[in-house]
Amino acid sequence: MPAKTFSPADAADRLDEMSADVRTVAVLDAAGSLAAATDSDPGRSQRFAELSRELFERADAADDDPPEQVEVQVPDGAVFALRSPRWMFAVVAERTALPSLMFYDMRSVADQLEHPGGHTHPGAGRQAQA
Amino acid sequence: MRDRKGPIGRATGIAEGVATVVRRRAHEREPHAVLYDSTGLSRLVSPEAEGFDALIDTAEALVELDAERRDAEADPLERAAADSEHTGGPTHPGAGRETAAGEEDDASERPASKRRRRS
Repeated sequence: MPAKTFSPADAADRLDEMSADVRTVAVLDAAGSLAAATDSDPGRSQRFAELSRELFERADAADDDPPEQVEVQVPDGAVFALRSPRWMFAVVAERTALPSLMFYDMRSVADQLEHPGGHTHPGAGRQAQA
Repeated sequence: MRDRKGPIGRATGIAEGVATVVRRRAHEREPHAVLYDSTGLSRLVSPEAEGFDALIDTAEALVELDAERRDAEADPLERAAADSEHTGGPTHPGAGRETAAGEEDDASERPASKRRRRS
C-alpha cells in the first residue's frame, strides 16, 4: 500500500480546518513561490504570496536575528507567518485568534509537510511562547 | 482600607472600572507586531522602531486582500439583500447585519468545514 502523501494543498486545507479563526492560508516553498492557498482566485493568491514574502523581508529588517515566526495584529484582523527550512506559511485570522494556538497549529502542519512519512504527535511543533 | 464610602465613592469606583476596561480594549486594538526567534522567544516591535510601520502596512494589505476574497465569495443573495438594505429596499432581518462597533458577524460566512472554535 503506497504511503500517504501530504501536499502543500493538504497543509493549507488542514490549517484552514483547524480553527474557526483562520480566514485565509497560503503555503510558499523555500524559494518563496506560491505552493498552495485556500483562496480559489489565482491572482489574489499570488498577491497574497508576494505580501507574505514581503512580511518576512520586513520582519528580517526589523530584527537583528531573523525571526522564525511573525505575528502582526491590525484593527481588522491578525496575520501569522511561520517559516520552516522548506516552507513558509501565512495566515490571516480573526483578531480573537490566540497566537500560541495559531503557531502551535501552524508548526504542527509544517512538521507534517516537512516529514510527510514521519510520525507526528500532538506535541510536535510545540514551542514556548514568551 | 477603603478610601471612599457612600454612593459617590461607589459611582466613582464603577466609572474608574469602566474607564480601565475602555483603555484596555483600546490598547488591545492598537496595531502591534511580535517577532519570535527559533527558540520561541518573542520580541515586541516598538512602534517607534524602524520597520514597524512597514510591517503593519504589509499586514494590513494581507487583511484587505482577505476581505476582498470574503466579499467575492459572499452569498450573492445575502450581498443583494445587504445592497438593498443600504438603498432602503426590503430585506430580511439577518441580511447585511452589522454590529454597533462596526465589526462583522463572521459566523454566517464561515465555511461548514470549520470544525471547532479554539478561542
